[in-house]
Amino acid sequence: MRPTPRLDLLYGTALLQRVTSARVLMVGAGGIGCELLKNLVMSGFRRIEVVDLDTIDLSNLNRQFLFQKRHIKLSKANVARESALQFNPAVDIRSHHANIKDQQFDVNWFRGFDLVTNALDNLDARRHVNRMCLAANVPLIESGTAGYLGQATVIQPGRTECFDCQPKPTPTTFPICTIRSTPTAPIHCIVWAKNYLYAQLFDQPDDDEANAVISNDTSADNASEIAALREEAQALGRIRSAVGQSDYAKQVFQKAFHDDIVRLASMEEMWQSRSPPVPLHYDALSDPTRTASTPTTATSSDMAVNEQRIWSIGECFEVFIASTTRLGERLQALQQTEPDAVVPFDKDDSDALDFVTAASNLRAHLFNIELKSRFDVKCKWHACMHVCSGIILIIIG
Amino acid sequence: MDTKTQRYDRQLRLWQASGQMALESAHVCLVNGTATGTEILKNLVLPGIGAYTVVDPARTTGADVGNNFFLRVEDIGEHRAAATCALLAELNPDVEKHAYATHTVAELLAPEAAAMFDAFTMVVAVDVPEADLLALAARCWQTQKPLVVVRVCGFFGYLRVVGPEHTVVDTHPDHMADLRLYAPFPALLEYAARFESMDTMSNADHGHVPYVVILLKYLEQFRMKHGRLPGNYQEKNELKTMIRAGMRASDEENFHEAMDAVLRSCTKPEIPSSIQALFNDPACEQLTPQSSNFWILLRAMRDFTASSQGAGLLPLSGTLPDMKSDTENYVALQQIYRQKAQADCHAVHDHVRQHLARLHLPSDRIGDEEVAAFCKHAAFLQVIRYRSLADEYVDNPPTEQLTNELADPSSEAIRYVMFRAAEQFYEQYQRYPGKVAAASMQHNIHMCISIAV
Repeated sequence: MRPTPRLDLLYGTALLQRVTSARVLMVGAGGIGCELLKNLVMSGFRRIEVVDLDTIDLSNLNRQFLFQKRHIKLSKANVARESALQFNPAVDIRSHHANIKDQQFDVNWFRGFDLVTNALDNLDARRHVNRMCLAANVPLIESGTAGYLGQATVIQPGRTECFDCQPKPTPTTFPICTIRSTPTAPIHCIVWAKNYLYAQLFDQPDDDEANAVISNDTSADNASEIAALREEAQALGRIRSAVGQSDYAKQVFQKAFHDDIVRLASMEEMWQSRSPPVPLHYDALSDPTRTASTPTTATSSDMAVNEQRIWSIGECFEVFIASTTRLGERLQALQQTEPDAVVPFDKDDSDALDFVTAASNLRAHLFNIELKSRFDVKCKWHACMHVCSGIILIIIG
Repeated sequence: MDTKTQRYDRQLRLWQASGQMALESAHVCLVNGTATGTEILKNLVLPGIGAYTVVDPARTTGADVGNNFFLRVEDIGEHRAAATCALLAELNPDVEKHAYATHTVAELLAPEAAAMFDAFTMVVAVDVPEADLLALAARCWQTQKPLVVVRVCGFFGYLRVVGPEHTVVDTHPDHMADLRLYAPFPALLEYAARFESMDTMSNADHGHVPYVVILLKYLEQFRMKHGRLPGNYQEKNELKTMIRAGMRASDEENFHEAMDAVLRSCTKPEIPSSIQALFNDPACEQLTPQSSNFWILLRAMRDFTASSQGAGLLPLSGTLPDMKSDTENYVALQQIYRQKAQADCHAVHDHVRQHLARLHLPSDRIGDEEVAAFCKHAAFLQVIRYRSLADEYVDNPPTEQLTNELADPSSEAIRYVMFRAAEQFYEQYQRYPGKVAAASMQHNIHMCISIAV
């Protein structure tokens, strides 16, 4: 049994009593979470619950000191609990390897705590916990870091302003896993189609994107998923070299909308609280009888109408195959004179915009996300030019 | 990406490879492996400091285990230095460690330990009594090692950095671009002249003229009209109006960029006063063979600014911000700034070699990369100098300042006085106040007060 430090000298008996009996919830066991859990344990708190959906990655180890190399791929919440218990086995720590937005963590559950601490890395979860704490009338300590800066705020229902009382700017960058694995909005699909798929096939692939190292989201620190995404990107790179083959567009389609989706859908833990994507079948969509009756958009003279109208999945398929083929031909033609030639993305390039519109809509369809018109895609584009480039919030304990 | 880069990925985005190299070549000595001491080392070991040494004469007690995350129950009775060292090492297998369990500060400063002491790049002293601390501080000062003094008492802490001089080249400034719009160099003027026919360009070309060229064009028009370049806010607004009038469509992005850049970039280039002050520093004036590379480089840079090539300006950083342009024109412009920066850098290097020769130092002591980094950050260099601990504690204590501060009952200065008084108490009684039974507390407090007064 570890000797208790003289906390009574520090707190006085009354406060010490409150500290030892308090039930504390800690949401997030990352950079801030590791430090916070250590400090809670060291400062006399004895009833702590930890929630984190993430697993440990090598890139966490430079700051999340409760984790070591042998813990890679294990649950952050569980390992943080074990490491902290080694320091003081007398503390009651419960861990949940789960998403704080899951049903099980309802308002009643929140009501069971005297204090909630946020050690999160994304706006969405912060907002959620804020709302739950307001509903359950539990004080919340909200914190965050970016680079060398950090902040902590106390939010007490009815006495202070809450997290959402001041509007927060919407982030203009997205975590890589949102783009590559779990899109939830049309913009995620558009970014995927342009920054990933188009870049990998026809333009200069963005190395960071291909290697999937950019992320400000802990869920992206999932080592196996990152490795799989990297492999996906490399496989796509190999298809790129198949340009010129008669079934080039089919290969690309199979890879992006079938093979990769089958793999994604098989990752059960990802789809516990949302429906998995359903792969598309080339042969079903390329049914010749249906093709004949569908006007192909890119070649249609009625462009203005097609710009604003949302295409059907069949049309998206047509346009995808047609634009992929044309872009492939253009790339091949350029490569005749210049082996390293690319077809840089340009929103005024009709083939490129067709490709991105069709690809993003096909993806949106897979994930049950609203489809967008070609015009919408073109407009969206302007607003999110630098998505997935520079970025980064770095959390240092 | 290798595993090391992966491990340090997030922090490299903060301090770059150069910062990581500095960290990895550091050897930090911690005196006393207390809870605060190990917390400090933890935060250095995790990001990959080169090596650390814990110097601590104490053996682990139950109280240590109670508040120190890096001690275990089974360490009670063991040397605290060895025990903390071992547990800290688990945080990062790349970091070298040493434990000197039996060393007191006196032993650390003894001539026999000189070789060990010299290997340290920095010393962190936690809760070291004042007499020992002053001796340690004197040695660190003399050997130019930064010393971090830390004291903790309950919820309060004291932190003091001591060091004769700390020079910083890469200060990671936000905006490094220096466009030289008010003093365009010949190659830049030549480039701008390529766009003379801007008025007859196609709309597409007109919309892709880099904003640097637009600014140069309208600055020239302003000069034709007023006989000088815009100086105050009003004149810069007039320049903006002239640029707006030159737009063909209201959405010409490059013209908007030009207008946005007017206030920031349309300034007379000059040597910042902070750098001018460094130029006038005795360390720059009088180089000796003992001078650090920083001062030799700074002196060479001063010589450069006084030369005809420097023309009173610092070497060009060579950084060009992103702008609306076609790739070809942008790359050409980037090359022009880069080449000018390189030429400036070569000239500075020539001055460096001259000084090295004059000081009888090897000419390769300062390499190309070091000169380039120095020139690139020329406008943002920093020198930080601290007062010595002996000066603050013994020779010139800030008595008057403290007296003034203490007149305000809410002043934090009381904490400083209490920390210092507790040290004085220790010097007299060889124990800290509050370490005995409560009955004598009152007496202790009185003793502290009398010492403080």
